[in-house]
Amino acid sequence: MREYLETNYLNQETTIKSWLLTMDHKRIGLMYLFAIMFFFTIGGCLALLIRLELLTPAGGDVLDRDTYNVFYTLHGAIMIFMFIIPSVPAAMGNLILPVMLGTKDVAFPRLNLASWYIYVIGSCIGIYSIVAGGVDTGWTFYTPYSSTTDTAVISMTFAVFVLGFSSIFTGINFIVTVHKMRAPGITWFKMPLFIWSLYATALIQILATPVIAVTMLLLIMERTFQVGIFDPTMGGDPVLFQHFFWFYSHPAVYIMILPGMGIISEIISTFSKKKIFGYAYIAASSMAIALFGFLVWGHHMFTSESELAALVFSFITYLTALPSGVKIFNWLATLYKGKISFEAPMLYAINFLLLFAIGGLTGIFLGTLSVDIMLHDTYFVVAHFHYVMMGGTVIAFLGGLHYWWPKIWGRMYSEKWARVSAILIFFGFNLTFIPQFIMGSQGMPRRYWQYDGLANTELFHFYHILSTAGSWMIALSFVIMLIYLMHSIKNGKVSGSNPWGALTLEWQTPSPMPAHNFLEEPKITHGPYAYDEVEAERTID
Amino acid sequence: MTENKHHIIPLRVYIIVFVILLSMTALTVITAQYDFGSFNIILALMIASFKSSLVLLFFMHLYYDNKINLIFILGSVLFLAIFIGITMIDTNQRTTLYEIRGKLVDEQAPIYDNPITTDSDH
Amino acid sequence: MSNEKTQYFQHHFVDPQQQHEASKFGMWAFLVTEVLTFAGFFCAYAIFRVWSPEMFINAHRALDVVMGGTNTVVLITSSLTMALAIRYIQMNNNKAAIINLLLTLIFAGTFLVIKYFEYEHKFHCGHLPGAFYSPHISPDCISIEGNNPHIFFSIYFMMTGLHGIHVIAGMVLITWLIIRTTKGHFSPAYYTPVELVGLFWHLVDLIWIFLFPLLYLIG
Repeated sequence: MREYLETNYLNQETTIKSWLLTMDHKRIGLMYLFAIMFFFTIGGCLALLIRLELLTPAGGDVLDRDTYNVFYTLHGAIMIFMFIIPSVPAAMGNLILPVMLGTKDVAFPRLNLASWYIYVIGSCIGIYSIVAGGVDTGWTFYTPYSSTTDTAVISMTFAVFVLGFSSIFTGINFIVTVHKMRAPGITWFKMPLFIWSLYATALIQILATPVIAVTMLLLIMERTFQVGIFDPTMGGDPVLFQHFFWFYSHPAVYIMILPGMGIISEIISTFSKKKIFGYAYIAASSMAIALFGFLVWGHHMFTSESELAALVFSFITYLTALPSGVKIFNWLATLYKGKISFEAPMLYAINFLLLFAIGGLTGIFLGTLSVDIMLHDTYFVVAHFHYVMMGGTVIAFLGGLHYWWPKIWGRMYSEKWARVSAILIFFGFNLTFIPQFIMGSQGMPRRYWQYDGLANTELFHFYHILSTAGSWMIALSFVIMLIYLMHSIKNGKVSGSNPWGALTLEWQTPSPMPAHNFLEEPKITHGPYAYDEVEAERTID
Repeated sequence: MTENKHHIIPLRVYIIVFVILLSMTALTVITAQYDFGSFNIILALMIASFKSSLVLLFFMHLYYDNKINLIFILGSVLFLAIFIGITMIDTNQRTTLYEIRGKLVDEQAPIYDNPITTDSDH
Repeated sequence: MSNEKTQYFQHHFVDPQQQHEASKFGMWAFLVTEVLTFAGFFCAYAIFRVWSPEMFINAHRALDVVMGGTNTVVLITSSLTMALAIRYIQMNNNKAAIINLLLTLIFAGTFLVIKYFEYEHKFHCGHLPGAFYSPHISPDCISIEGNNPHIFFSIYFMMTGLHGIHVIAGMVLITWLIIRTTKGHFSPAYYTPVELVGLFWHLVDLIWIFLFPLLYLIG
């Protein structure tokens, strides 16, 4: 329908209590959305200050050495644990998954609310840690430095421990919802690919997150009771900590990217008005990536582990590229001969294809043992993971945000400014991080506060200037985005239920969504990408 | 799609499983007194796995339940094995770098601040 | 009968059967996370044991097999009574169910009491984790040969400690069940919470089934 739904999930009840005690997955998703954007802003400001410091080779322009260490640690920890891990699953997943499955809510709404409050508590503990002076170990908390430094390690690791439960509960909820609560007619192979990606992600969440919980617990034990299992002077093993840490943290990056890839599948199909190519292969590749993701954690430890282990991990890392490649080629095949339109979500999808491809391919460089010896702990690594995490997940998240924005608010944002922002991010991002690839390959180390006195200092200085300029472009694009998105909430053009003419179930219900997701029982008459059989009418002109 | 609705397990099944569990406990204690070399640990784990299977299948109802529950718990054991197995591939290889492994720790280590005492010290 | 069903029926589900299956499946998903939590400790155990096999054998002699074995029997029996409690609710026998839940609680308490005595002996002998290891040799405290025995006790205390915390959590949940059963909340038509706590309790037993031989019966 073309109209704005007057009584919807946003205003059906308006008391504070109805929000604080809500069991509506859409309200919970919305609260998550605002929280993660808040932490993204904090993490982003930290990054801007770090980049400002790196404008000159000498240290101390903006930050002193210890503060610099604290800043990159907090940038990493906040971005990873408070922003990116919950971003797509907890925010977009909560908002959209039940509606896509034709059901009224997730399996355990109270657990969902608990998940939200645990996230809040964990984040507050993290904020406490920041206020108490922060941590200077790097977000990876490697021992023995993390077990001996006198910064606020215990509170930050405890925050991570608590946040892990939030992630686990979301995972449990989504797994059970997908298994048990699909509307009649939505079989496993008629589910949208976004659901497949959230399902694979949820499996990773329940299998991997407990291990980071144990790891953080062990680190706290190490610090408080000096149990000695990571301390070489006590017969312990610091590399053991790395095994424990990366057993979660590698699958964690697949928690980050898989839902993003799910969003890209939705966007590419909708904006090419074409059935997604190789549906079953894309679904299978999500599961394969989830599985392989558990077998490659040692590729973060090539310089500290044994050669045999490094060989095994390097080999499996190469294999991991295959299912990702399957996705990329299937998306390209979907685009081929499609009726492509370049609205903002599609611009983000194309951004994703280019940026994620670069990120993924540079991962192959890093997965090569002999090359990694040179590139480990350089800016090459930094650029690689920013390409996949930011160029991949964040771009996909923004694509999803723009795609589902009209569903969430019932109104459209300014298409013109959205395109400006998307293009500005693309150029800003590349300007920030391509110089970092070059610097890294020439030996610029990561986590260094000053870089004067090196053989390549002049070279590095030039690239650091480019990189910092790029960071300002990214910041500008986000400021523009904030303005037009906030403006659209009250003033945007009414979108109606289906501004994109898409075929998945969430577009068959009015916008903003009704409190119980559907006004009448949804009838499944076609698959989620059946553009060859059905034509859905766009509800805006 | 729905399996046995609220299936009630016969009492004798519970009792038989209970008796087997106790016997297996006795067996594992007894076999631990003998030295089978490296087979000791394998035997102990086999008995423990057998006991666990009984608890999972009967006390926890998995034998009668929707198979997805069984698949999930077996999956968790698989990933436990992957975690321990692959980590041990690495830790067992680090010999030359880590010759201190198993050796007496650094004499400056905190544990040596604690003297060894005996009854006659009091 | 249908009153109990509809009283606890949540309306985002299609029917109570779906709700029951979903709740059980959710609990199994949670048990998966518990297995992976203890996996970390089992991994540390495995690695340090492979590195110092003699030390492990020597250090484990400070543990009392009789107490450990008794605790194993206690937990297995508590698992039986927990399963029976569910069975009696299924058969609409609330009284027998409460008795079995109480027995489970008592066995759980017994486990903790025995554990307390074990820990007390460790403190007495100075067999403590990490930097707190300060061995006291006496007729009732063995001396441990081998390098770095404090590692064994670090692992022992962390694993049994975390397990003990789960026992306490289980006791709290069982107490909650006893209160609710006394109030008549459960019936053959609705007993999902009892089943879910039962699953959690059996997991506590499962962990101990592995901890016992790995810590107490090493060679």
